Amino acid sequence: MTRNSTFTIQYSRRAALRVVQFCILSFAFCICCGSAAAQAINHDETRLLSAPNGRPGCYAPLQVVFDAPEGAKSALVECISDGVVLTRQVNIEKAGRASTQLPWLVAKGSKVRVTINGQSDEFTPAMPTRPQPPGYGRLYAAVFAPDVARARDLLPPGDDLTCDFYSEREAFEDWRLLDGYDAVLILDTANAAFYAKFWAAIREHRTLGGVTLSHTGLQSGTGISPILGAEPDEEASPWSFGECAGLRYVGGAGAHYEFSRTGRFSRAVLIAACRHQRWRGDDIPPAGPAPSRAVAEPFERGWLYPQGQEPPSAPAMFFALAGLALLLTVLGPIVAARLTSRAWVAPLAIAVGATALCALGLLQSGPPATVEVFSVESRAGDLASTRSYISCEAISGAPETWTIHLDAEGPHRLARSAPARVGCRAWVVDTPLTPLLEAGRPVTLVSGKIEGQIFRDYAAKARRGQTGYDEGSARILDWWLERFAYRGCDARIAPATPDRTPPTDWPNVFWRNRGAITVTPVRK
Amino acid sequence: MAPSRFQPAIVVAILLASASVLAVESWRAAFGIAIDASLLRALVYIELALPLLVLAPVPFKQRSEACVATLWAVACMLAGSATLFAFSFVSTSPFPLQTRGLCAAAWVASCGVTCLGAALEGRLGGPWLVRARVAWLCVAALPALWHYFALEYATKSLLHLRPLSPQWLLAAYPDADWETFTYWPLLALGGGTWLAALILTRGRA
Repeated sequence: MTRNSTFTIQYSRRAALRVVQFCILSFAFCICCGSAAAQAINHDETRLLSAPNGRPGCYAPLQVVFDAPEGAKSALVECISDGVVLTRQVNIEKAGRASTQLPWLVAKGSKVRVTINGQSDEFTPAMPTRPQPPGYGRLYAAVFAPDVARARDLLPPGDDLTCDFYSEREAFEDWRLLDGYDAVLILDTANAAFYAKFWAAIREHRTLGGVTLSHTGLQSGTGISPILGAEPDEEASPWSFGECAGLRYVGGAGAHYEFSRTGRFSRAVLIAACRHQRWRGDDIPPAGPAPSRAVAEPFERGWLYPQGQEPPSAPAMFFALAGLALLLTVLGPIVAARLTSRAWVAPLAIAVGATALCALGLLQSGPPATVEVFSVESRAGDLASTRSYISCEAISGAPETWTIHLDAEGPHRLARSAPARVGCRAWVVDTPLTPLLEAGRPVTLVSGKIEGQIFRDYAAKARRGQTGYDEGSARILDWWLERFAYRGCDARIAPATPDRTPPTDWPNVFWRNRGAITVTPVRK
Repeated sequence: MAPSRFQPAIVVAILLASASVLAVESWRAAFGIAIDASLLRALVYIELALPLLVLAPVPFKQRSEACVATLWAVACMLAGSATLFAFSFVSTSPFPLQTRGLCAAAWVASCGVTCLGAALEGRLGGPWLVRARVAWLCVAALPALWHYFALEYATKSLLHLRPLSPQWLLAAYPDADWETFTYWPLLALGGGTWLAALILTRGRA
């Protein structure tokens, strides 16, 4: 080996080393860039707006703050919990800090994911340190006021009432951010823009059983009517507590209380109004646990179990494949014998054709998974909301996740996964402001009796088909009576024709409407 | 005996006819079958019986005819699979896909045995094809009966014979997997008899 060649080899080795070094550095740089882009969520500023409070099993407002890179046009923000995903598309005008609000399920394992340009980042917010379980003796309210400090003075924390305070600017446009609250109070606000933004959310929250309170003077002062209470389709009745008097409007399962600005408002008024609604005008609370959207009793106790899969009907694809297989095997040998004298052509052609048919056959989707729906409509006046109990067997191809696009048109549904029997999945879906279902002859439940019979006897008659209830309606009626009749909840109940519109757009699913009832609370 | 060229059509027709029979609700109820994975399982059982019953090559004297008979067996197997997969709308069960290896092994064994019978008949004369088919039917079917009687009336099972019968294997391994190479006796039987058929036809024009 000459000296020159040795030099050349050494030089080439150095060059190769530099190339390798460059590659490693470039790779590391790319990884760093990727990880930087992936870590989009600002962990410090992403927070629960209701912190440190939050109702377990319900959705709480979460402020998601993330950094948008250069060139990003939009971001997909998702709240991922067991069986339910809420998504929101956020348009990004310029690079840098961006934020949005979305409901976050107060439950372990619930997290948020931000996806920008195909890269995603996940973050699990901390659970609230002061969980607010539902209770008749303990209320959880959201208070919106221009002066939050004054509102805090007016509503000091206590054992019977916990409030989260928000300024006018923080008004939610979506009722799903108010899911965990028993009541919403609006104090001293005469801001028309605030109401315009908040009105729909408040109304939907109320039809699902929420209690809202506001001043009466607001409407005349702002000239906005109807705003919160004066809905043309809601019934008004006088209401007073202490020095505070006003009107009570009923809409759906909830109610709105307007109180005079001249009266002295205090936390006692708020509590009295909530009790007035939740205790159904009685002096004592109903028995049993307090109502909460987090409770999904029928699945826990096995009342509403799936009835099995609907037998699939043969699709056109099956007939096409079977016909082609038959044609191929019958005509293939005849045609091949006409075209060629070689004996191996026909079996080979059939083998190739059959292989193609095998592939096509495997492309078929499986049988549709049967998803069963029970519905309970809460109706008052001309307003109604619906709670649907949805379940399916956890078979292959059955839906696993309920995805809700928060910005989508249509009803603002909110789903939560419910505990179900082994081998099944279940969801409870709340839909505000649903069109009134066609209802049959109503019966009145008063003090545990319907038409002079103990409610269980009536339920047994319904199961035997001796009333106006069919099998599915009788089952949901049976559960409802067992759940509420003992608790002093009087109501007018009627069988209803369930809504045939699928609650969501799951592919390859057979929706089976098992039954529906409509319930109108009767107050003491 | 149907001509070889219509044997794939017979396979497809038998499977479709069986499915039609099982589509009648009262008959389906009598068999304890629903329109789900159990229907696919029943069709797989029927499909696995077809190599024993349907495959019957014409007695041959030339080696190329043995190859063509093998091609017809392949065509039958794939036509049966295509028909079975057309029923994928019934269930997403992976069972039909998992049993493809077993099905192929059954067709290989049947092809080898019947080819040997056809070659013997072509060379020696006499009903060798029928004898081979009957012998293969006995070998394939009797262990299932033995298994049944053993389970019913004795405490000792004859499970060591399970690889000899496709149905037997299916009964013993309901979740038979593609990748588990437990079909070697069937493949060895089929390969050996097919080679013997080729040797018997060697040198004959």
